[in-house]
Amino acid sequence: MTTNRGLYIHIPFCSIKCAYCDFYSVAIDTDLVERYAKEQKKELSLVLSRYPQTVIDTIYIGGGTPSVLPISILEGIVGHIHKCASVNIREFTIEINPCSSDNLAYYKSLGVNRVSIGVQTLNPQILKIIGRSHTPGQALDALERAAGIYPNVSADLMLGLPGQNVEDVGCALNKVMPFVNHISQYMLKLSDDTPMGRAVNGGSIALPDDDASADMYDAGYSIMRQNGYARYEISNFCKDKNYSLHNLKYWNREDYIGIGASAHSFIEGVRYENPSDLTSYLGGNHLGNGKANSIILSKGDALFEYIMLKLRLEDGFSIDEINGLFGIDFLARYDMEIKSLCGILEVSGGRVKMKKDKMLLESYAARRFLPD
Amino acid sequence: MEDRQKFIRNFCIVAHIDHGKSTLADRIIEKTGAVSEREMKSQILDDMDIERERGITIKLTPVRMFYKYEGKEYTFNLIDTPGHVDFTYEVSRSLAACEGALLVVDATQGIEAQTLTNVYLALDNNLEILPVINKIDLPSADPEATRKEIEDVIGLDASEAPLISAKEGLNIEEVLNQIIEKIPPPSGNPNAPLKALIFDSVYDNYKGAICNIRIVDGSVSAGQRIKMMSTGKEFEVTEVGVFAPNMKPVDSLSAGEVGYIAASIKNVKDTAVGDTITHAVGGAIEPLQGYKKVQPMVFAGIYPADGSRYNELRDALDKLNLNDAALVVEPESSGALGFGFRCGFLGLLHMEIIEERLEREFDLDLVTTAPSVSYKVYKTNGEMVVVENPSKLPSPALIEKIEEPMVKAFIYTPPEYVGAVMELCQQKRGIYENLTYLESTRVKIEYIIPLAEIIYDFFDALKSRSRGYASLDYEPCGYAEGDLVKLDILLNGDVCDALSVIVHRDHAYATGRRMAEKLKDIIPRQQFEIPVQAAIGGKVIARETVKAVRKDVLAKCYGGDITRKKKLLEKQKEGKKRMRQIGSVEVPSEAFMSILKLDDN
Repeated sequence: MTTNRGLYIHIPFCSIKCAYCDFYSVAIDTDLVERYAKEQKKELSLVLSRYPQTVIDTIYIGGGTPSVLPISILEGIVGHIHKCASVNIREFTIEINPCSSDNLAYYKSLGVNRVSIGVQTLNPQILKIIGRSHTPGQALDALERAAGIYPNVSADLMLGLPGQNVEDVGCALNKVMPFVNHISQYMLKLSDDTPMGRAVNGGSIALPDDDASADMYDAGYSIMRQNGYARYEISNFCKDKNYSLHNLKYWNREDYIGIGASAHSFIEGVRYENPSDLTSYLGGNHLGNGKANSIILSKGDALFEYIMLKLRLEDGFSIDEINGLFGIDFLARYDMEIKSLCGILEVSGGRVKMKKDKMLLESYAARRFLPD
Repeated sequence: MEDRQKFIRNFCIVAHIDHGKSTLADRIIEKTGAVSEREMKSQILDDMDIERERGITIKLTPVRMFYKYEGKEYTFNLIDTPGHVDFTYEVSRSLAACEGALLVVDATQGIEAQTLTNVYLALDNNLEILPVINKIDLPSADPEATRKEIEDVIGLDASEAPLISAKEGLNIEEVLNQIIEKIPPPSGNPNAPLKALIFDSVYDNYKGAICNIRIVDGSVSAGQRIKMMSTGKEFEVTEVGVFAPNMKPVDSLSAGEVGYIAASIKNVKDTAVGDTITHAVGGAIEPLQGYKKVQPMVFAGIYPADGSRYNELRDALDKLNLNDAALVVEPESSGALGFGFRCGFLGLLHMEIIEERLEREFDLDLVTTAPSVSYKVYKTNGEMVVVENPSKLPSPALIEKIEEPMVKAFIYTPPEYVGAVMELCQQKRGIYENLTYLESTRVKIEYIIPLAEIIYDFFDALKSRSRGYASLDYEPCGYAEGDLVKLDILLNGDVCDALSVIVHRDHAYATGRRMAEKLKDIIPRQQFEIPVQAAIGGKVIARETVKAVRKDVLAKCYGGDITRKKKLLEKQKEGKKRMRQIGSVEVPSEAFMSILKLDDN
């Protein structure tokens, strides 16, 4: 009996840190990178020895900026995956920053079949404000080269950036679409302890308001739809069903193993998180040594997660499935919540989902289902 | 006069808020050693946390001290007084328990309205007033100008006023010596029938309601039967004692002394401030003058934010009521807010204090309606009903006339703001009474104003129009007929009873429009568009729309961090707990209270 599991490798290094980013990352340093890769390999071996029935079917190398890693290091990590895990790769994604895309072609030899490029916007002023070091030209160049090499190319685009408007969004999409079959179009969610968060709080940068961001989202969605991209999750759009298989595991509550500092895992119904601190991680505090923070979910927690995550999907969830998985009568149990959300939730054909034009109210809906 | 009485001094301290009354009291207590260093908290007289935080005194806490002067030991009884207009009656009662008052004036601020009000109260009670000029350590202090102001405005000789810094402990001895030299010892006949003035009462879980008293004539000891002269109720004294500063039993209390009487009294309402205690047998014929029943002036609905905690709210109000006879509590129910209470308060500060104590000491989340006053509604059938809850106003067709409570407002201001102040008073339907130049830099303006116009934002408006210089005091002065109407608020088409207010017809349109605008800003956007309407008798006079929310979504679950996403949602939900579901509309709890705070006038 084997279990398919996704594998996420977190690379917490960046050459510079973007002004809006609050994910864990540190400046790149050769010695540190080597020690980190070594610890990751150790962690992976230990985790896999604990779950020997694992078959890795998706790999996602994210960050940070994985493309700043020296080839030799990446080679070592990927080689190690093949050495200690059973693999049956359906999808292997690496994140690329346009200004560190020199090795773009090389990743193919590691088995990578999908690249995700952090374009964010093609407005040069906005790129500067948000602290991205690449130019629109570099981004388009990386996209063009990637399209010539990889069957699957995805672009990350952000909405709700300072000074951004509907035209910027349309303009970026039109330039990006010829090269990609997948687009993540997501809203900036700024946390207070980032340089940009502080600038916004201090009043030196103004963000578009929620209505303006929603207008950008709607405009972007409309352009993508006209060009054959279907939405399958709030922020994810693809042509010809080229979904991100790895990311779907998150929303479908399937198992995944996360290796590295601040990486998250979901294995056999338990969530784990490694420390977001490189020193602690290098000291062996991670899932491999059984030292990740573990969160055992109650049935109520699991049920809420299911609803929260599935409502992000275009197709929502099947009432039969949720009833079967949790032994509940969904419609009876949540009668009040469903009624109170009648303007934004659709219950039809045995499925529950967000109404097509109300996807951006997913959190509004999910909160109603939170257990007290 | 007995020898014993010659060595007693009963005094209080009169000051404007912030002028350093409690700090001076602390220093005096320190100097006389009534409290050991270890027990000495800053501002020891202010018992409650709220008092210490806000720097105001609400309950009066007396302290007994000893001070040696020229080889003789003197007993001091310091009776603290509240400094706020809501509590003027309490102040007058505690003044009546003293022979003298220290008038503390901030050398950087000069005299303000509250100071004057309390000085006049003290003069009415024939108290010897000792001016004390405080905060002389501050660079902006001008002691000589302050001295002159005291002489010009109040007419007191301030030439010997001690220049002190209560904060730094400077010249406190001078104050203590003057208390002995200038404040007369208590007169009164210890052999006459007992007359004891109740100047405060507190509830003690073990001893019942305790009367804080000043013995004017006669004496009292445990075991004696006493009578409350206003009600005729009799009790047996279980304990008499003094404040040292905590309650300390003594054998007896006699003329001139300040202390307490415990008599297993179950209800503080039987120990009304201002009442006279005498012996049940062979007691005094005439009570001391000045007892009056305290009437609540301001009313508001108080509801638990979580309806299931109604019983906890009831118990909490009962407990507060034990210590605060001025608080009036009646159960009521609202279509919008469920079961709660209509509470009557002495004023807005009193109301805020009660709310804060409920939230803090009893850990309750409250929904409070906008404050209202008590209207007398004369119906066409000849009946008169008292309406304390605007939503209960009878239909206009049944109303002959409505009378509203009026107050006489005294406003003290520098002359340059007279125009602005008078304009404000006119806007608030004030009737001009008088204007007096107290001196070249200070004017006293008197207006009769409907109380309803004072209780929301009058004080703030006054301060902002006078750059903070004007100060206000007021006293009730009967009822007057007004052309008043009920203004209803409709949310999504339904009247929300908890948002109804009674306003003057001429102001109804503007008030309705501002309330609708304000609610539009306060009510968060929801999945539907929400019309907010203001209406008089079914006729809509203003409409605003809360647009439907379009975006409420979290970023993608990066790297599979599902836990963080759930935590964020939980945090957001926690933030929404202070919302009330009114029909299909979620309304923040604070909306009900803040609806009339129309800050932009």
